[in-house]
Amino acid sequence: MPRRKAVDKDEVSPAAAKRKTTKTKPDNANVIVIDAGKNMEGEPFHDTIQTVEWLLTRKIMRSKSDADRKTAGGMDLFGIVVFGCDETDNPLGTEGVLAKEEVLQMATFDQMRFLSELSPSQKTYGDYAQGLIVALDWLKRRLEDGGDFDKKNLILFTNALGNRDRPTHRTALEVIASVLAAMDVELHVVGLTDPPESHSVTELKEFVAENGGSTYDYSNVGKLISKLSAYQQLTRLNYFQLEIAKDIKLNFKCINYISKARSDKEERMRAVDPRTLKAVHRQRHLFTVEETSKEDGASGDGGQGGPSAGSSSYGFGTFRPTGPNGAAKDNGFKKEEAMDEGEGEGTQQQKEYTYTQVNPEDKAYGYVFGSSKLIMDKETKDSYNLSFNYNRSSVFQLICTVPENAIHPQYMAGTETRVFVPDTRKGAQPAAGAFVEGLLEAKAVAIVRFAFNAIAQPTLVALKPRIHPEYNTPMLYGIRLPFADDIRHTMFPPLEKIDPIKSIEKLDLIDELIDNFMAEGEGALSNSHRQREAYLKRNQLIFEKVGVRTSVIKAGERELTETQKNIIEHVRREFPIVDYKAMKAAERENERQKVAEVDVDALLAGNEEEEEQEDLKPMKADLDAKVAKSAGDEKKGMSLFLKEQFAHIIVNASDSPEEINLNKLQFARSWCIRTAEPKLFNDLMGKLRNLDDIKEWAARCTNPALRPITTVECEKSEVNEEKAKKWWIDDEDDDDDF
Amino acid sequence: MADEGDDGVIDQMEENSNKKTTYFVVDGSKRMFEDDPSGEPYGKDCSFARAINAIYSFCVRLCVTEEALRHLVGVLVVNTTFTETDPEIAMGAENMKHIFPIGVLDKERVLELEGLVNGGDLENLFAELFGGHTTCNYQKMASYSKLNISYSSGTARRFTSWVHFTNQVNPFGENFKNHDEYRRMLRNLHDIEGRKPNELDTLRRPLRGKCSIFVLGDSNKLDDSDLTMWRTVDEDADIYDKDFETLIFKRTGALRAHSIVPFSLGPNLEFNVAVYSVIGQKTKPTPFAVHAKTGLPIKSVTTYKAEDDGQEEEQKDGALQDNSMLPPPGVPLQRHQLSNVRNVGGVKVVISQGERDLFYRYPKGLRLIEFCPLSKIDLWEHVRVPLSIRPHEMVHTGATSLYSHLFERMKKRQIAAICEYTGRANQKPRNVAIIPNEEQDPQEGLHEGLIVVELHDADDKLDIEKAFEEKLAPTEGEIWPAVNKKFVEAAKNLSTSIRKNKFTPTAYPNPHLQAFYTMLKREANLETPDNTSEKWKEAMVNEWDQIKPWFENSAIPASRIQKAQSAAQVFEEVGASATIKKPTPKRQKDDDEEKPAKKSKSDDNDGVNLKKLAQGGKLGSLTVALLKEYAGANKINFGSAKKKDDLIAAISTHYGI
Repeated sequence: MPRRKAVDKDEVSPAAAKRKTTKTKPDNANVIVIDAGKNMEGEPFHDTIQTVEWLLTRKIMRSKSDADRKTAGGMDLFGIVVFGCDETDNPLGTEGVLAKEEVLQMATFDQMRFLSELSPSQKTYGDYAQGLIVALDWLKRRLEDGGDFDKKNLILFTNALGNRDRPTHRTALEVIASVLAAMDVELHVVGLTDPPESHSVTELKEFVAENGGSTYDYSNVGKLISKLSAYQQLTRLNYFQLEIAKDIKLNFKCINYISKARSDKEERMRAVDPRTLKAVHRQRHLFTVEETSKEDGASGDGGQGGPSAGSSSYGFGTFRPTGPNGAAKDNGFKKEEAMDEGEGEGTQQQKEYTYTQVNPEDKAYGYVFGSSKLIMDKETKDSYNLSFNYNRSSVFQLICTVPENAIHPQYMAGTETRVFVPDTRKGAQPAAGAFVEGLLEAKAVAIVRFAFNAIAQPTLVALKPRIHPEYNTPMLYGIRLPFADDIRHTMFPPLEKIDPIKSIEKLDLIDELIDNFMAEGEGALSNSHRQREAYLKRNQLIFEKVGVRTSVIKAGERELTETQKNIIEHVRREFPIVDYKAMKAAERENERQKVAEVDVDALLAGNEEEEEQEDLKPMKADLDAKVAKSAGDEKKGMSLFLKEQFAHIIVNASDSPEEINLNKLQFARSWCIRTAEPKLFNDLMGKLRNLDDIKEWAARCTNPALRPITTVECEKSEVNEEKAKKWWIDDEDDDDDF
Repeated sequence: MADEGDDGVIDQMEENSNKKTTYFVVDGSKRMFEDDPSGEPYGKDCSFARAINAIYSFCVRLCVTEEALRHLVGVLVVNTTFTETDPEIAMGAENMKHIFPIGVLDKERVLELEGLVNGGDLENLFAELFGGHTTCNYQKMASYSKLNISYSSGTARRFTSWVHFTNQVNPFGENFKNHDEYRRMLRNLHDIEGRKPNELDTLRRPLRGKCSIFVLGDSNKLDDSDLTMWRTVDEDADIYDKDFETLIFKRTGALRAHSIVPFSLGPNLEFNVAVYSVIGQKTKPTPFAVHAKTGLPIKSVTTYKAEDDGQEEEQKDGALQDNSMLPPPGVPLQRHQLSNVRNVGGVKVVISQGERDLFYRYPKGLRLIEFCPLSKIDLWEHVRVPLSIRPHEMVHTGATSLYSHLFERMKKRQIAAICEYTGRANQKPRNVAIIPNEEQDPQEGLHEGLIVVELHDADDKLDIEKAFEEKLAPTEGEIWPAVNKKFVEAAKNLSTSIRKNKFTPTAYPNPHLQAFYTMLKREANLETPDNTSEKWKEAMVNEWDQIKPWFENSAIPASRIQKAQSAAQVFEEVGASATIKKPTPKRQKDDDEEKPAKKSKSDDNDGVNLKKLAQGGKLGSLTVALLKEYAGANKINFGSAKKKDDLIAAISTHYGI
């Protein structure tokens, strides 16, 4: 089992030679040749290191497992050669060239550490011809060592400005060209300036073009990465016959073109025992729990295997399922029912749980209908035939066609995109191709019924016709569509309704924001860029653990230009986003201030009797309420409390009576009933009745907190039920009662 | 005992917490039984029977999915002679009785409804259950509903729906707004919805409930003006005579946000958005396991034991030094006690579960990277079901304004926003495109607003070039066959004859689920099983399977079918249906063995006069794979050229053309 081996091995050898030869395809050899001359100082060298680190990072995180290698082809092996540096270490003895490793190896953190320590030379200028010669010689030696490689790539990072003042010898270039051809090595050059800064740059560009190589700048290096080391999965073909009419079928072959499952593979980790780092295997235990109530001290009969007992100081509880022969098995179960401890306290009843191990054969299944359980044995379930493929090995039938724009992005409900291409193995190819072109001309998308195999559920799939831009192949992109059952019902109010105000100035501001953040070129849309960001975040933990801090880590951080910062600031001013809680707190504080300032005396002047005006000073009332309460005079406390509430209500009455704290009133009401002091509360209600705003609102509000205390609730009350009912409505009922 | 009672209430409240609530209130007045289209009172199509039927369908549909366990349902009949209310919360409410109070649905409750639906003589049945007809106070009805909902729904309540079926268009008269009973009823119903009198506050915080009014009656006899009163309660109130069963689902189905995340446009500029998945693949409920003999539920525990390779256990580098918290060697471990190991970059990295949880906790949110034209994004290369985002003002206010201005401009300029998205704290960051959607059809799952579409990573995509070179390029025949215009025309005709103007998912129920639901209904004794397999098969084909190919679809007009058939006939002439067997492993092996033969075939390609083709400018008709093959055979150096144009250029240069 390869999984076990990978974990138990003390050390995974990086050397290709040491690996077991279980592969089906040879590995790929990639030699990275870096110019570390004085000519690379500054940005070029920084970009170079970052690109190489990114390339290595990607390979480190996506190193294929042994199992993958069997199906997915060879590994990408790397070697690093540096030229134009102050050190010399290479078999040819060329000065200023450093060939780091003795073998080609999978990308390692060591290589990344080596790169992070690398800096451009202060005196030497890099000569790319020398670098290439040493690199080719180095690769040749690896081949002579018995290396068998599928693809061989030489990736040169230079700006070629080291050769500005000393043109490369023509013979050297001719030698390199012939060796490249003889060894079937592909040359990639990264970092040449465009337009060329010097003749040496033009010369190198011409040389690369002549020899079938490619040049890249740092911004489009993603293309190089995908070319070099695209993760190759075995492309398994499936064959389907699209039934376009009764008994008329077109032959298609199909691949899973885009599938999320592929990049999720990078997360694979292996669970191990933390004490020994040995791989673990999973043991699944099935059991039933029977709850019985027993008199204190009694013991259960233990079901099939006898009662369970025993405890552990490691938190594994008392449950030990017993085997069929009654022997206890120490499986280290955690007792789930810790909460039953102490339940029996004070009673004679004690709950006991009988755990019985279950053989997998005794398992039966059921489904819930509401909260009822419907248990179905296998026979019952089998008696219902739920297969809708009608004994067909796969289903691929045309349902209808719809205009291209009818397949809305919201309907793209699958997790993968399949590509169907006419099968070329039989003569039906022209017909299938013509069908695709017919759809294309009609600007239509086909809706088909699709079942991958005989046991799969039928699905709805949309097929969009396309012609491959390079290969001219007619093909159909297939994506899953939702069924009626998949649509979730929602009730979103229309945006027009919830935010109808759209000022031209604000819209212009948003335009400006969009313009300032508009992507240049492929920008973040490039696969490589996107993946880089995602990788860095997903694998942050690994980097932390290994202790490698590289410039790549920082690449995920976004830096804004001054203009961008300004526009963000501008938008922030025009569209104020306010913390709701803070806003509410400020509102409350504001209200408190208002309450403190309100002149209740003046408000009530002429309406109330003199003795009542006396203590209507809200802030003072609040203070006095607290003092009185602490002194034990609850009645006075409540009286003052009610006056404080009255002051609050006056403040809120004109604009938002709903802000009145009804809970506080309810509390006061209950207190007055309990202590037989209904007058205190009813007096307040009487005062409120004089305020028109409050009165109108209270008439609508059915809250019992706004209902005067009646004689039914408290005998001392002077308000009867009938009067209470009409309290807020009947104008004729003046405050005669008070 | 009092304590025990309190515990019971608390337990029930905990059990009922975090569930949706739907409370049906059916008018049981005599009027509801007298409007049967046949003219006969208490007929099976009277408003009351139709209301109960709709509730029954709702309950059955809910029960067959797992949703029922997260949904509380109650049915109250008002205007009855009998009064059966909870004295603690009745507050004088009279003339109303539950069919069943608010709680999780089970088989018995549904059977009770079924009894009312299929019980036969409705008059007697109603008299027996509810005594007869009278009139109740609407304010009491509303306040009793409100208290019932808040007492039954636990501490944390999800969306509440109050659904009233009646055929009384206005019990309060024309001047209803001054009617005290009406005003109090309205206030109570607004409390159920959590509606604030202040419109701005209502906007800021989404409503926690919805009161729906279904006025049952003949839509030809009543018009909108009759609904003035009910529309003050529910602005969507309408008159329904039939087909309102599914509408109940839509009215009660307020979707809960998948996540609420900050959308950051830049430093110090972020607003909150709620993320909804408006389309989600619905699957069968998960079965539970029981002991076949005892019927007790089966629980399972998973433990992990180190593999025994016969070697003595020893401490290794990276192994946990302090293992005092772990059981002694040999005792199985639980999942949280394990570590993880990954071999990367020549290093064995050991990560404990705790570290993993800590490190993989990314801050959640949407972070803008840049904007780009919508045309640059190929939405057909998607990897996940799209999500819908809406402004959310619970924490920050002002979100709606910024959102709608952004949406307006993105829509007008056809711009997408490329963002990084972490939906939940422990989710991996993903790269997404936010695209504006202006189409609206909530019934078909389309909503105006911004949609989040996940973009694929480089590794999600198969190396198409390689796939084309090795698998998808024509392996036989020299070039990709020229397209026969006759077939293209036929395909075009076929496409036109079976064309629909739009795709409507609601027309395609999932057949598998429909059959599965029927199975559950039968097992719950709600349907009399037609035990014959023929009947089941018939239902499968005719009833549940609605995703039929056009040639089996009787809904398409015969004239169009005929046109499509004659168009498809052209394909039959060329023997398009030539059967190809799936390659078996053996056959694949044969294919491999044939490889040398294939190679020799390529040698034969010398027969193709590449120079002549080049001179005639016909190289463009060859595929890239063939161009490469022929160029290789003719020893033409084309370097790393992969593009067709480059290859043609290389070949042309070789021949000096």
